[in-house]
Amino acid sequence: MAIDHDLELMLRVRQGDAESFEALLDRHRKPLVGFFARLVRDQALAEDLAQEAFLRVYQARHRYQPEAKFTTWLYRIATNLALNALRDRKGVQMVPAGDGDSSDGGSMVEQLSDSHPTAEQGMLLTERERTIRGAVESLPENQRAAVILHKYQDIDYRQIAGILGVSESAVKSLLFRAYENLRIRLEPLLRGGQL
Amino acid sequence: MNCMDREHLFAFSHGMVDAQEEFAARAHVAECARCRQAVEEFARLDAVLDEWKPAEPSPWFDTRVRAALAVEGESGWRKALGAMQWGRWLVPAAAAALLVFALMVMRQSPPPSQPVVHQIPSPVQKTSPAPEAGRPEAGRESTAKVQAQVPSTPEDDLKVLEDYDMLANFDILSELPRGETRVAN
Repeated sequence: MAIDHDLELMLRVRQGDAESFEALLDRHRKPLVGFFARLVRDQALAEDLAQEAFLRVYQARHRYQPEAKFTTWLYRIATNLALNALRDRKGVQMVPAGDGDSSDGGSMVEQLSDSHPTAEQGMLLTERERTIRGAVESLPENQRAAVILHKYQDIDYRQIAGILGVSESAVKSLLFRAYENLRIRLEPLLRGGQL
Repeated sequence: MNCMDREHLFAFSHGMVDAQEEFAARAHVAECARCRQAVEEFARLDAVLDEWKPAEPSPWFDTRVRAALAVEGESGWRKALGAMQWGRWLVPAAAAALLVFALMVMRQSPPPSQPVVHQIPSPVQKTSPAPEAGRPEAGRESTAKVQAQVPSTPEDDLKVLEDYDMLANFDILSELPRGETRVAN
């Protein structure tokens, strides 16, 4: 079994080593901000949430128990923060999802009133990226979190089960339904056409 | 040849099956064009999804995190106190101790001076026990006490003179010559 370097660093942080926390920050800063940005669709909010996640890791350093991989713990904190932020955020409107998928309790998809990117952000996104992002954003909450964790954070499905608090078979099912939804929504891109 | 379940194919194409299942799926896909096409579709979808690039953290992100950690460190002792089981009793206990101390200080300090209230001798003196017959000086003592305690006024003197029981104890009055008495009056 490979040594979990994050776990070693976190154990040193628990003993009061500030440099190890800096190393964790350096290793996970970019993926964590990217995770939040994809999930909450707001760069400023994503950075706030990433900061909060690092703060919570630091606050909980004395209680940290190396029972699971560090990233499982980190992304459990991050996912809870992101989902709570989405639910608490003002201007959330619930509209029926197009695919009628209700098997995971996610038959409704949140449409955030400010989900449109700013002009600056918009310039950075290609038309294809916007289409892909729109397709992922249209997924029910749990499916979206599972896809982002699996596809973009490269986290193993067993870990995702620990992060989302569901069984491994439930994660497989969740991911499969998400990919089926994405396949339908991204059909033009899959056929090789240009938007 | 029966095609594999699509969900099973998805799990196979994303490494979510055990070694035995993987071996079986690989053999099937090699033989089944339709299942192979499904696996290729999943791969194409993954490639398309890869085009969505992650957002970069802003240059000041680390600074913000460090500032938040510094604030956390400053307020750490307050949280530590709050976390202690006895910490929540500290403030009420300190308030109670302060109250007890204040009461002790108040009891030791002298009471404020009271205004002097003159009490006019009242008929109560009539009901006071009669002096013993064999001790005429006892009556004098009591009268002297009354006079010493109560500042006399002309009105008070008149009341005393009207008190026959008290005057009867002044033996000296009977020894006075009548003429002098008249003169005195």
